[in-house]
Amino acid sequence: MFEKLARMDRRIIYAVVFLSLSIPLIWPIGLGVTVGPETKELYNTVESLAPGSAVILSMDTSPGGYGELASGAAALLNHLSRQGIRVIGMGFFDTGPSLLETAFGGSDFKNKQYGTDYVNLGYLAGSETAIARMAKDIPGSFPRDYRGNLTPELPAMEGISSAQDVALVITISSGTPGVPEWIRQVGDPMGVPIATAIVAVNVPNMTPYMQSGQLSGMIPSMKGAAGYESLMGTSGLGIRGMDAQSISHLTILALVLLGNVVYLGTKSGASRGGGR
Amino acid sequence: MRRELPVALAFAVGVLMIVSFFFTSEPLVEAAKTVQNWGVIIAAFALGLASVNLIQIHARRIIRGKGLDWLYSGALIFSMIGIALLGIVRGPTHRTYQFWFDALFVPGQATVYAMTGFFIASAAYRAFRVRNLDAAILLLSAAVLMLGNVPIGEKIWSQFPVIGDWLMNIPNLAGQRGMLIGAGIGGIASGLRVLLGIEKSYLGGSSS
Repeated sequence: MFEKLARMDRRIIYAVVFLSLSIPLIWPIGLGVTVGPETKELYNTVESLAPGSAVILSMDTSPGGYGELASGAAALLNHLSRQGIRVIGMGFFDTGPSLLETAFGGSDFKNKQYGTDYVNLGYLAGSETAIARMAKDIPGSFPRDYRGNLTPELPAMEGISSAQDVALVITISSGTPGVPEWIRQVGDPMGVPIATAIVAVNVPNMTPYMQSGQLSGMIPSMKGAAGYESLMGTSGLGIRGMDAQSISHLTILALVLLGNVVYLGTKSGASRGGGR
Repeated sequence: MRRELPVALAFAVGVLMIVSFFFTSEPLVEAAKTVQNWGVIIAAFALGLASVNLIQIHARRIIRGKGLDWLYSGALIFSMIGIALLGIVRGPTHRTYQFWFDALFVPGQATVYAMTGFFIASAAYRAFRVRNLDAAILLLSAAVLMLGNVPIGEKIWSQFPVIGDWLMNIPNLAGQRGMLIGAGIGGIASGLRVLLGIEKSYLGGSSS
């Protein structure tokens, strides 16, 4: 039996994982949500912003990472909209501006005025160099926005010349350039608070920046998004996804346990067979 | 001269960027901005160059017509040029452009990324074995973190999130911080090697 289990067709494992993810999404269990301190800190940072102040929201991810970050981005945008904050969107990934359009369209900003309440400045090539360049002169780096309007003429850009003129930078991040680049070029030299929504795999790498105070809050993946939604008193993709994540984690742990039982069973069977 | 001039240029630009980071004199800041502009322009040109290179490689595959490669390469060139033309002619915020991005590119790439979850589950079943004490510690930490990060973990045992947070904030943080400081010192050392002309591998050929 152990040999049979050891050679289990991987498609069975795929099917089990698929079911563990899809069933709780279709029939939610309602396991509840816990809010991490880093998520609470970001929520409080946004709460403390004065209405009318400006925030940079940089979409530094590809569609691969966006699936995990969409719920966090939506929760953040809804909060910024509720607070009456101007959002200056940009991207240092080539897919960033298009994803930003999707994110604005899926949030409360779709009912706000483009150019006045929010703006999408587009993509700037050059990774960390581009962030450094933009930080010194935003209208000079993006003379026209993503829709072809002259950036300095947009009401949302009033009083904004460099990154020092914004109250907060939020990077929706899944790779490089991401949090360390923003901290190096904007956070530390200019004293602008940096916050992030980040994919789960990068959370351990970002913990030192949180602990040192170089990050003013973090939404760690879907778990953070669920916490953020719960702080806002809303229910979105984050909260809906937590049941699926709970059951899938349990399933993977059960598979690891079964794998080890099979391993020990096969090993003891082999040693017994060897002894005969 | 073929080597001395680039090394001298790298030295001058590097020193300018370092000095402009620490001093806020207007001419220095302007000079640094100009250099950063060049960096942005070169990066944008590199994207164009990469597109030309991609077309060359795939055009060759189409001409060769081997197996099904020509079909995949043809689809790549067709979609690349088609979407680029659509973006240039109608603008990147045009409905049709955004539709193809949202309906094809986003789900396609997200699916590929999401599939790793299935591979990880299969690999964990086959390879995550308690062969020795190190593997046992790793497995136990992973299990506690996985359960500590989801609501069901807290329902099973209220201490899972507490132990998970401790693992992240003490052993993980110590290791990560050590790596970050090490990488930072390494970055300074390799930067100095480039500035002083000791490291020349960026010029091509050997570094000596």
